Amino acid sequence: MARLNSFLFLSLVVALNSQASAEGWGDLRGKIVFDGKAPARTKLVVNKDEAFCGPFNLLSEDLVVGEDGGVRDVVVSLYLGRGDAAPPIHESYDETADAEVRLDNKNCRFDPRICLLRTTQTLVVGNPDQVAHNTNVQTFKNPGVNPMIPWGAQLKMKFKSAESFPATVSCNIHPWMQGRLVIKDNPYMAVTDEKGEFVIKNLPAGKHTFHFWHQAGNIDSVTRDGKKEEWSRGRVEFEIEDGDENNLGEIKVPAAVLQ
Amino acid sequence: MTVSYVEPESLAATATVAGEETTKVSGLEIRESLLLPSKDKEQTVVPGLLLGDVITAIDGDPMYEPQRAAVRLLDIAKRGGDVAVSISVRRGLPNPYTSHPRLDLYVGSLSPHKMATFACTICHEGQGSATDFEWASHTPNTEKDRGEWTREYGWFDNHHWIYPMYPKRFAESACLKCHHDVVELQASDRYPDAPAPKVVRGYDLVRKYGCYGCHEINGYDAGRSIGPDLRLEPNYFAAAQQLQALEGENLTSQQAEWAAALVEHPELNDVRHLLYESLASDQASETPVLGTYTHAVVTPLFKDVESPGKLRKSGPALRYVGKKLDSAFLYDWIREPKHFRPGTRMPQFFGLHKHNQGEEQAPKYEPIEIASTVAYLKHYSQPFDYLPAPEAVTNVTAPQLAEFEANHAEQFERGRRRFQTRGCLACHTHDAFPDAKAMNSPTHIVQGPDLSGVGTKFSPDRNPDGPKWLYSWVKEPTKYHVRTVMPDLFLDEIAEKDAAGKLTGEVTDPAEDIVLYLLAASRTDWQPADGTVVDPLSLSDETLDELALDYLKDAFYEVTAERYLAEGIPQNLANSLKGAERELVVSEGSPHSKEKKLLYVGKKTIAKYGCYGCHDIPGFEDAKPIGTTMADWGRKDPSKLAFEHVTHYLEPQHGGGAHAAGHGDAAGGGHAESDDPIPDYYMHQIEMGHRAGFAYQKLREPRSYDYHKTANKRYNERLRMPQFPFDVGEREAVITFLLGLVAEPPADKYVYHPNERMRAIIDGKVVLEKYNCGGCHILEAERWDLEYKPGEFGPQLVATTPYPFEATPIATDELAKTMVEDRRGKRTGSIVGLPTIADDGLPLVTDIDEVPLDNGEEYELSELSFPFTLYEPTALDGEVYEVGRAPVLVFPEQLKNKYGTRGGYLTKYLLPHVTRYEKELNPQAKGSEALSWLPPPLLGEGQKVQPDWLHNFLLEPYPIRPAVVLRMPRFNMTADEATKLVGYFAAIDSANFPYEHSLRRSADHLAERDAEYRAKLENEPDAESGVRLEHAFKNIVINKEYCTKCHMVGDFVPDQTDRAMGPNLGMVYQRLRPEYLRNWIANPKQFLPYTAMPVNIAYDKPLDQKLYHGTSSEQLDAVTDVLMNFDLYSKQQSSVTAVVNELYPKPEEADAATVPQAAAAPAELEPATN
Repeated sequence: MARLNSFLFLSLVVALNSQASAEGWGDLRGKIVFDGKAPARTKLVVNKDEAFCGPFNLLSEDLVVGEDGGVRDVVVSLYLGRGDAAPPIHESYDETADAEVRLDNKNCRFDPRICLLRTTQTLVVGNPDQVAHNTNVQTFKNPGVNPMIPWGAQLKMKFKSAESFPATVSCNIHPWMQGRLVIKDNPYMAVTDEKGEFVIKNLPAGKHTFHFWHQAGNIDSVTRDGKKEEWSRGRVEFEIEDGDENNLGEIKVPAAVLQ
Repeated sequence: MTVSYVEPESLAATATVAGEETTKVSGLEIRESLLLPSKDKEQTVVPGLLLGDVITAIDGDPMYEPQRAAVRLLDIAKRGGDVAVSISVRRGLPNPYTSHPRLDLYVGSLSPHKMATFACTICHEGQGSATDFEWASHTPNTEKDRGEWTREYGWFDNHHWIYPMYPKRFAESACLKCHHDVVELQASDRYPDAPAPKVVRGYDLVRKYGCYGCHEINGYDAGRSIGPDLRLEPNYFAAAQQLQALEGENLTSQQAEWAAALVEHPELNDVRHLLYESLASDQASETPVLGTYTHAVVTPLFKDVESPGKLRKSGPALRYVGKKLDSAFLYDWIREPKHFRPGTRMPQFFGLHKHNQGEEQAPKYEPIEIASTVAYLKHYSQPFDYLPAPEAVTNVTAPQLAEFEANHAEQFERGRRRFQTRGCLACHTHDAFPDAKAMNSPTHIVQGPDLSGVGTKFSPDRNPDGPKWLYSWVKEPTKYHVRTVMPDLFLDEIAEKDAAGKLTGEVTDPAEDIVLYLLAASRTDWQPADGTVVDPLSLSDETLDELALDYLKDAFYEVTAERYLAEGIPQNLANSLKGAERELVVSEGSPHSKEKKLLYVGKKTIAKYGCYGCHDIPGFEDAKPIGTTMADWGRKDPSKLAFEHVTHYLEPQHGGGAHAAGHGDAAGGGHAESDDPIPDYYMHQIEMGHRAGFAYQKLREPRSYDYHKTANKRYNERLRMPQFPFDVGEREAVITFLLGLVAEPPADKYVYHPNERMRAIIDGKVVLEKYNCGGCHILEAERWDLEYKPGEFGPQLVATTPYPFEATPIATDELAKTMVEDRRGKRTGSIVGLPTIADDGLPLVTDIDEVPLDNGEEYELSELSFPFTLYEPTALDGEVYEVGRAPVLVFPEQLKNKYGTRGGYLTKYLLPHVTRYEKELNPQAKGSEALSWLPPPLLGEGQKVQPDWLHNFLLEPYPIRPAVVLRMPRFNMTADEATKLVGYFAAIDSANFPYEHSLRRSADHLAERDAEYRAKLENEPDAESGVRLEHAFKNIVINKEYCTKCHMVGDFVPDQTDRAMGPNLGMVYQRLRPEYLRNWIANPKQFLPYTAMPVNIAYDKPLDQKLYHGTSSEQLDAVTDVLMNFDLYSKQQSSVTAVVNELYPKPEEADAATVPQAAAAPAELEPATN
């Protein structure tokens, strides 16, 4: 006798969606600092087109720490969960909304190493080098692309969907070449410069979650103002106030997180 | 309260199933688990309330009255709010109202076993004409059923109906009546839920444990297929080896050549016929050159066998075992195989006398039997030359090995990695790699032995030649064992390179590394057990004589036997002896000795236990299987089964059978212990004299049928079946298989006759399993069944404009089917592919916000999402989803069923490991591309490669992709097996087979396209013929900005690291099908989503017209044409006439040597002749 007892749930769920509703627009600034003594950058093994690429004396860009400890290439972006409403966009971003963003295969490296792109913008992949490159963009929401880019050529491409994490960009011909492409459907993202500094301008005032990411992984443990903070999965909530006073100051990141 | 209406898409219709506790697991574990085999599918509960569900409780409160339940639910609805309500329901109906399971397979009008055609008893047996339950000859599946049926329906065991129904546990036995190949009962594309997993498992067990070595299962009766066929192949190769050993230089050079050919390729019938005729004519001649014994025993073995068996012996060859193992190891192994290797498949032969309380004979005789077997094997072991091994192997000592890891850390690690990555773990397990073991499902029978103790087995302190043997074996297995399925892994010397890909000057030998690693890292504290006999001559003469005399009395009168035992058998009788008695022949040069008696008893013992059923043993080339044939065992009259006193034995009050806890004295190993009690069901089956019960106890304690019988039997007449290391489930699987061997197929129209395509698939599967191709290669991708709300997937994003031919034609009605919504408002569909691989080589899993999991964080299932890379185009959500675009993101609530890959265990295991190793050289290396360094998934292989090429490649594999970390090994398969594999791949992909006409190699096609191209060359009106291919070749293929950036072409090798180097384009005209090649160049990711190969000629971005005048499609066609005609094109570049003229100048030209010769005209392209 086949008798099947099943226990079934009926779930009645009311979705609550509270949207930050403060007035005004604010800038978010900060500086990511390596906590400790940064390791020296290693020399990359140039094993293809040595005659052209060798003279650039390329160094690893996996972790680039400035003289004062600032960490380059940390991506800070407004974090949107599944089903979160798109944030209002400040008018200052209008003029760059359909701009062309360049990603060059230059001097046998990707320039910029971390490229920020909005879904409304066009990516122009160029190759001023005197050797052929391929640009293998490994996206997850968009179809991946991997075009061959001969010397002097350039290719324009659009990415219709935002990516929830930075896509790897690589050149298989020159295996040491690697970069990242951050694709969002809003402009609220930044990458730290040589000094480790970043700024996201004109965020809508109110509480927002931000995502801090470095190639080594999510930045989930930091020290601010001498206090340790755990940023689970690299996410942290800040209240953005109207104006440019939203400065997170120095955010010290332990070596273990960045290596 | 019974549910009588469910509003579609209502909360009731979409209710989820409660139950599984939500546990948090680390991101790393979640990711790793995606590579592991899927767990056996549990019975899934359909979510949502269904018509007919009976509500038994609400929020834990029992509901007895419909009204109360209604009021309770209305109250909850009225209160509203964010609450979860738990409703318990009773679902399904008791028999006879429940429906037949697997309507996709049985009964249903679309199933292959339609009710109207097959009805009931053809599968179930029983009395079809009966109208009462008790007369239909139902068979209860459990003792509980039996009790209930007897009480409620008056059921009884009707012995007069000889074909009662199969009980549920053996229902699959019936499949074998019509499905003689068995493999078609495995899970397949059409039936992803395996139709008959238990009987297939039984078949696998019988095959892998070599039951057929003793129990022949002949699937043919006068040429007609009557059931599964499991029989040993004819012993041609062993006969040839024995001929070489016995006659050596007496053979003519031609006979020796034929014999050598047959050793390697016993399937060469023409060679065998020639050899047989030659031997027969020698035998018939007045002065035969070859010996009488040779002609009496060996020559007839080369004769044709009617419908020969196909299976090789399941154990290793013992022809040269003296060169492999020392006597102590052999003795201990034969005495109790599990003592050295607990997981061995070799059964237990000795010490099985628990059923015999006060047993005296076995403890006395068994050491003699074992020692004499060892003596025989060692004495008759034939000459074997080890492959030359490096000194590091030949001279290694046990103390050096003990310190090897510490003193030779670099080589140890290199050996470890090579053992791990060069393919060994596809077929073997080793305790040092537990995660590799976990890649196989628990029911998978690992092809080769566990190697965790191999260092002890070949330890040089006990076995000085051990390391040499291991080296020889690893490097060239067929040199030692010609019929082994272990392939040649091409462990050739390697010129090491640095991270930059430059030669360092160091040359390493992977075979040496692996051997030294295994010897050093696979040492256990195993020692031969106490009592191990190393010197058989030390054994008691008296006992040896007793055994020898017992055997001699079978052949001679007692008085003669006694004389022969004491004096030996006179030389003049030698030619009249064919059997073991020849061992006792004495002559002037060979007086009688204890050794002779040992060899005699050894040979008799091997014959008694049938060791040659699984092993190739010299002197047993003509021996026949010792067990009863099993082809019709499922119909065997139970009265012919010798139950003897086994019920008494199993009853606790009689002898304390294992049915109760413990019985008899503990002795030896391998007995069914008290932790292996006989299940009640089988106990009853034995009591009632049924086959299943007999078989169960036969597998559990094979000799227990001798209980209270030995007093009237001679020692050598006792039962001799060994005890196999099966658990309860394995025994039941074997019995399911045995019960299905009825040798009585129904009328031909019911028997499964596969169509041509299925025939090819079935034949191919047999070969794939024989050589364990799935150990490395993914043969079928994962399949995920999805259910989702309309629009959840939507249209697939496209990056660039695809070529028109890239679009997969999917019929509109197929698309429409994916838009049909069920009662919950959900659509269903399936996707085929693999979990997306992240840059660390592990599957990428993302959280609910589609962000990759943090390895160290913990997650619940409900907060995950799974990116899935398609390997087959599919229709989903009303849209076509192509391969090579973005992964499909699947949320847990969308995933209904998941079917794992078929095969690819090693590849999946190695993904994260080779990524880690590669990152040591190049930190930017991406695990997402690691599949291109590993054995390729063979998905779409049939559409990809040319049949001729694949056939030759399987027989003689050569390196194709420089990027791989391991090479395709060479299996000693026959041309016929290679043909079957080629047919399999073509059939599974519905590709043309065996021939495909290639328009691209037709001269007309090339000339036509060339003329068109020349017409385009406005600036070069005088362009010569052939310029199209020349432009494609010179301007694109060998342009350093394009193909030769990474690819080898002919003898050109680009300056590139191995990982970034592409296959030689000069070979693709032999390897790839023409249209595949074009489509591949157009969009490589459409075929292999993991490939690093870029798009060179984008549809909307043709190459510079200076390189080739034309559209992107024309450029693509031209490149394809020149690659597909590379041989002809290259021939154009060199003129044979010019070379001939240079070598043999005509007199007038020789005289006028100073006159420059005219350049030879390029040869016209000729149409392909193959």
